[in-house]
Amino acid sequence: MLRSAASNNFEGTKLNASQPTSVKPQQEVLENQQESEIAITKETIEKVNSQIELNSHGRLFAVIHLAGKQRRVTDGDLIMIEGAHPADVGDVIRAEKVLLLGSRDFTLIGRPLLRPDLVRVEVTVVEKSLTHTKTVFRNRRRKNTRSINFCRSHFSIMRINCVRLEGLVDQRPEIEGVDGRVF
Amino acid sequence: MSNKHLFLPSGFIRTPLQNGLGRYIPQLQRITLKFCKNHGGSRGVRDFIETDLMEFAKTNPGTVVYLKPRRHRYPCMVAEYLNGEREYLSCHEFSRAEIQKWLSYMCTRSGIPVMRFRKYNHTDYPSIQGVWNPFTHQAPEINVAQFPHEILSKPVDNGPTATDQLIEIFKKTQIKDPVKPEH
Amino acid sequence: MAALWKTCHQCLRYGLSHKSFYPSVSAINVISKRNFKPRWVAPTLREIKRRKDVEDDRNGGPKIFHRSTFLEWNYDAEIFAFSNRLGEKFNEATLRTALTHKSYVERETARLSDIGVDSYLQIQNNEELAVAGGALISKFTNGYLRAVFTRVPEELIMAMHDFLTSTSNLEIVGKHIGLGDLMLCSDFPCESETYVKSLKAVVAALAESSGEERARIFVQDLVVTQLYGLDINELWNPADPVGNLTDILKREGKAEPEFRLIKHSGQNSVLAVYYVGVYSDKNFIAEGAGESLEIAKEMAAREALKQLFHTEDSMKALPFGRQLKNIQSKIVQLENQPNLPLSKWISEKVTSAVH
Repeated sequence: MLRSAASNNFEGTKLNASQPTSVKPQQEVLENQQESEIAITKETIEKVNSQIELNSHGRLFAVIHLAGKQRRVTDGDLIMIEGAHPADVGDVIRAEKVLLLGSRDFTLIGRPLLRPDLVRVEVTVVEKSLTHTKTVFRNRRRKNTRSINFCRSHFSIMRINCVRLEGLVDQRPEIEGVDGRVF
Repeated sequence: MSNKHLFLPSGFIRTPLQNGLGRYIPQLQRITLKFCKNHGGSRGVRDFIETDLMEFAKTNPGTVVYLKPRRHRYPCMVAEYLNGEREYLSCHEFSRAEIQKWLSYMCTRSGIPVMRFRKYNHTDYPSIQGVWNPFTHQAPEINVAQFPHEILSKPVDNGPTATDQLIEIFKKTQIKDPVKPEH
Repeated sequence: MAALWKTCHQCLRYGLSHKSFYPSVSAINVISKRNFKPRWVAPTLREIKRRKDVEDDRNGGPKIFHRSTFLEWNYDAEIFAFSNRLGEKFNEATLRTALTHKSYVERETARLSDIGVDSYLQIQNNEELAVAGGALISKFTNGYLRAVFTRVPEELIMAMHDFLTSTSNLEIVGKHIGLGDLMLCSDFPCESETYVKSLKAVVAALAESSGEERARIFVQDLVVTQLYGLDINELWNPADPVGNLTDILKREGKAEPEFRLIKHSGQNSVLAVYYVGVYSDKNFIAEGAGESLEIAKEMAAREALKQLFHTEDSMKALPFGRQLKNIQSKIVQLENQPNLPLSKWISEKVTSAVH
């Protein structure tokens, strides 16, 4: 049977109709939070913080943005980075762009990034090498034009050393973003 | 056009002995430079040995460098890695800079033979928040419910079907006959 | 004669000279030039390969040579590179002793007496160092496991310890730090026992040269890291998980475990699945699944034990390398202090892991 998403559309139009006319349809109106909602928020944050304090959250995973790609990593993972990378073998890097951090019971989502004082992801460069020989073959049919090239591109393999929570969720330091930096 | 890469051994990224998890150990254990003392093809190797070799040996104390002069033979380098692999590279008519680059390539490799990678990441812990199964988030009432059930046996999405909507639209667009005045 | 000489010369040109035991390597980086070979080359090479294969079959495999028989071999340089590669400072004499086996000394003495030189060889072997190193590896591994798995009973600790100090595991470690070419021994290809003995002796030599602290870090970085990626619950199999769980709950003063069917599907098919939950005092502990009720019950009890010991699938990642800096003192303390055995295990007596 043919079933369309029309029912959802009807609901959508209803919602839009109740909005004030000055707001454009793609914008979202946030209502004031009810007291009960605030209580739920507080309770959730307290639960997460107590797990962090007791160190009872289990294994952590993170989504990091490294060398132009988003990667899901956890302790001990190996990731491959395509193209040349400035870090040398044996170097330890800190991945600062953490988009998401998850554990068994909670997930922290960055908007777009999590605070660097909250999460720490350390990476060791284990190998830098070249890929296998790739053939780049270009041919234009019936035009008597063809070229063949051989190419081996750079890649690095990195080992994730740790994904660690370093602070509480709602407590922000007075000065942010200077953690671990040398001026 | 070459399809050689299709028959290359393929595999997944890995490191010997969990390298980088505890500490990073450079994997190149020894390298042998074979060259001719007076042939033109070995000129780059000879230049490299005269100018850069001492520095190379100092920066890589974990690697043993052997020099092996051979009369009127092409120059080459043979790298031996901790995992027992050997890699051979012909250096015929290489310039000094080329020798330097290939040596650094040999140094930073892990010794695992060149292969086509099937995946660019490796994890031993694919799921941390649990793997989905058909029982995940299932309501417990289903266990004791008797089927056929009044609510549970119905389809979940019971909005109007596309056919219903078409009939609705058709009905709306029907022009009603003007009421005939009674005589 | 001249023709034969020419053929031999050509064969040498095409790479038919003496080869080592390493597999022949192909030059993958080089795009070979187009060259035209005479028509006699391919059949000649084929015939020579056939004869070589026949010879190898007769001798039981191709002949292999130790790396030290090569022309390019400098043992002093190799020893220097070995310690630098690992980033450790060794006393050179101790390291040389650690790599010298009893069999090597015996062989050399016999060789000298054959020649007629009856002088006693002043070479020490690694027997004593290997014994000391074995004890050190065992001690360091236990300390690490007890500091990291604080809630785990001693039985599981011992299972992990046995895995880490097993011959197969230590052999892999020994091979991958390059001991194969450096060991002085009479057996070739080397036996796994020789690798294990050398590795143990190297650890003892390190403890003697740079102190026990460095040796502990060395063992943590190279031996203990082999635990990564392993399901530790696979290493130890409790015979009666339901009985164990009942005993633990009884000791803690809680009610007996109550097993209840949570959900099930496909009872009359071959793909039946039952989910059984464990409750105690009406509190949910864990759930397990299986193809029959008995199996599901046992799996649920196993899951409950995992929850108590903090070894469930989502357990905390094991700390390695730099992350161990803060708990090194704790590891030293716990080296000779066993965890609670399963027969006395109570969750109040064990502290939760902090690392």
